[in-house]
Amino acid sequence: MNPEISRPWAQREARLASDACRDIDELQGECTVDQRKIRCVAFAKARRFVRQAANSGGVAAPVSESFPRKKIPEHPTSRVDIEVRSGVAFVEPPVGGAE
Amino acid sequence: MTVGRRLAALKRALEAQSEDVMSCARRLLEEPTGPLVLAGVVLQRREVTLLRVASLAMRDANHEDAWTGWALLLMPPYHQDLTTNLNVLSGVCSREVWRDPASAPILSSLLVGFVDHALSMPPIIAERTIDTLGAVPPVALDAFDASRLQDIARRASSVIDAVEEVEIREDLQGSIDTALGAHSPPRPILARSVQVLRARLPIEPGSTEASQLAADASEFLDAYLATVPFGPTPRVLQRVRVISTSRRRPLDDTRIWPAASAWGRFFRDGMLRNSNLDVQMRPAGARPGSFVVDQLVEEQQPPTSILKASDNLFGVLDDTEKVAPAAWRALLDVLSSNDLAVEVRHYWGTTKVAPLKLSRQSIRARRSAIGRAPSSHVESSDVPQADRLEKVFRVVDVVSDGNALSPESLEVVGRQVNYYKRAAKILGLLEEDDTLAAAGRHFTRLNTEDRMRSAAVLFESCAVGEAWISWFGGTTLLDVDPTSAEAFLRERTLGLSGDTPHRRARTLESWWASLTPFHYSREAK
Repeated sequence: MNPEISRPWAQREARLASDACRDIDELQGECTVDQRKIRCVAFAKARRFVRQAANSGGVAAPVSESFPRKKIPEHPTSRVDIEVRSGVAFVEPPVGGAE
Repeated sequence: MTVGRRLAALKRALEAQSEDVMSCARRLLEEPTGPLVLAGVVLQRREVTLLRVASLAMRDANHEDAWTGWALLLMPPYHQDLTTNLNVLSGVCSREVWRDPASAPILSSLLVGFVDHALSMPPIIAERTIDTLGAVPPVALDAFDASRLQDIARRASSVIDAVEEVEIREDLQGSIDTALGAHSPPRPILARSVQVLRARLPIEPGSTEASQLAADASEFLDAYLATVPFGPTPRVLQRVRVISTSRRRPLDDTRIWPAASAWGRFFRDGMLRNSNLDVQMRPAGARPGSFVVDQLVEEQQPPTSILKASDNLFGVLDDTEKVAPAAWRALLDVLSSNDLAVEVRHYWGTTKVAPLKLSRQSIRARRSAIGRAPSSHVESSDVPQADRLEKVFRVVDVVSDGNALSPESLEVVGRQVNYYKRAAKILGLLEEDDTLAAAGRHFTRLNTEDRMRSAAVLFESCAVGEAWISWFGGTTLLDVDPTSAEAFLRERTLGLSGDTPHRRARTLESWWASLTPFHYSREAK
C-alpha cells in the first residue's frame, strides 16, 4: 500500500462536509489493519474536525491540520492530515439542495 | 533589495487575490527581516485573508527572528477567525518556535493569554487548543503557573465532557495530563532577555518600505517588552515623547519633569471626567534623545476600555465640558513656557490609539482659544473639604518645621489629614510634591491677621474661588452670596455627586465667612 494515500479534490463549489467525511472513510478503508489501529483516534478526530467545521460555516484556506498534533513516539510518521489550500471547505449542503 | 522585491511580489499577489500569496509570504520569510516585514504588512492591512496566510507561513519559517512574528500573532486583541486560530495553534507546536532561549519565555507568556482566549472559542478551536497543550514542548508552558494550569484543566474538562466519542475524550484528557505532567514552576523572565530582544528590534525606520514596515511591527513589540518587567500579561503602555521645540534649549530636567507631571495630571483628570476611569500610571522606563517616558496605565477596567477612553479624551480636547480645564490649561502653559511639544501614544498588544500630538503651533492655537478668561468649571480635586482655615495654616507650619503631617500634628481625625493637605495645595501654599510653595514660605513669616488677608487673595485667585466669582457674575469675593456655594458646585463641578456638593459647599461658606472681613476692598473702605 502507498505509505501516503490521499483524497485530493478540486472543485468550484465548497467541499461538503459529508463528502469530506466519505473521503476519510475511504482512506481509512484503504489502510491495513495495523495502520487503521494506529490511526484509529486520528481518523475519528479528523471526522469530528470536519463536522465541527461544518457547524461553523466551513473553514477558509489555508488550513493544514494534523491528527494527532503530537507525533506518536513509536510511529512518528503515522497521522492523518487535512489541508485546505484554496477557498472554503467542509460546509453543510445549501438549504433545499441535494447532498 | 531582495526583501523589497519579495514584498512587492506579495503585495501584487494580494491585490490580485492570487493563490500565490502563500508562496510569496514564504519567500518573504526567507529574508533577514522577513518575519517583521510580513508582520508589518499584516498590521498595516489588517486583512483576515493575509492573517490566515501569515499564520500558516510562519509555521514553516526557519528563521532566527521568527519569534517576532510569533509574538505579534500571540498578542491581543485576539482574532476570532477560525483559520487564524487553527494556524496559530498548529504553529506553536513546532519546536523551531521555542528554540531561542531569549524569546521563548516571552512567547510562553503570550501563549498564556492566547490559550485563555482559544479555550473560549467554539469546540473546533477549543479542542485543538487542548491538543496543542499536549503537543507543545515543555518550554512553551514555562510561563503557566500551577493555578493557571489548573484553571485551564478545569475549563478543558467542560470541553472534553461535551465530546460524545469515548476515544476522543480520552485522547483530549491525555493531552491535558501531558501538559500538567510536563509543567514545572514558572521561571521569571530575565530582564536581560528583555534587553537582548529589544536591542534586536529595528525601531528606527530606514528609507525603504520594507524597513518602515519592520519598524512599525517592532514598535508594538518594543511597547510590549517595556511592560514585561511588570508581569507577562499585556498591559496598556503610554509612551510620552517630550520634544524640545527650541534648538537653543536642549532638554534638561527642569523642563522634562514639569511637563511629565502636567501631562500626568491632565491625563488622569481627563480620563476621570470624560470616561469615569480612575487611572493610575506607573513609570516603566525612559530613553534619551527626544525624551521618551513609558508608563503603564492601570485601571480596574479591561485594557480595551482604557484605550477607548484615551481615544475619546484625545478627541474632545477642545471641549471644556469633557476635559479637565484647569489641568489642560496647566499642561499647555507648561509646554509653552518650556518650549516643549509632546506626542503621546497608547499601545496594547497589536493595538494602538491614534497619537495625540501637541506641536508648538497647536499648543499656541489652543492657548489662544482658551484665552486668559477664568475657568467656568472646576475639578472636584480643586474644591476644598476642610472647614477650618486655622488648620490649613497649621499644615504650613508643620511642613515648615520639618514635621510629618499626622492626625496628632494637625489635631484632626485620620482621614482629614489629606483633606487639609489638599486644601493647602488648593490655596497654593503647598506644592503637589508636599513641599512649601512660595506663598507657603511667605505665610510662615506672617501673623494670624495677615495670614487671613493673604488667604483672602489666594482663595479669590484659586481655581474654585475664581470660578465661583465668575459664576456668580461678580468681580471679587465680596460680590458673592455665600449661600450660593452649593448651587455653584452642583452646576460647575463635575465629579461631585450625592451629598458631596453639600458638604463641600459648607467649606466654601466657612472660608467666605472667615476671609471676607479681611478682604482688601473692605479694609480699604
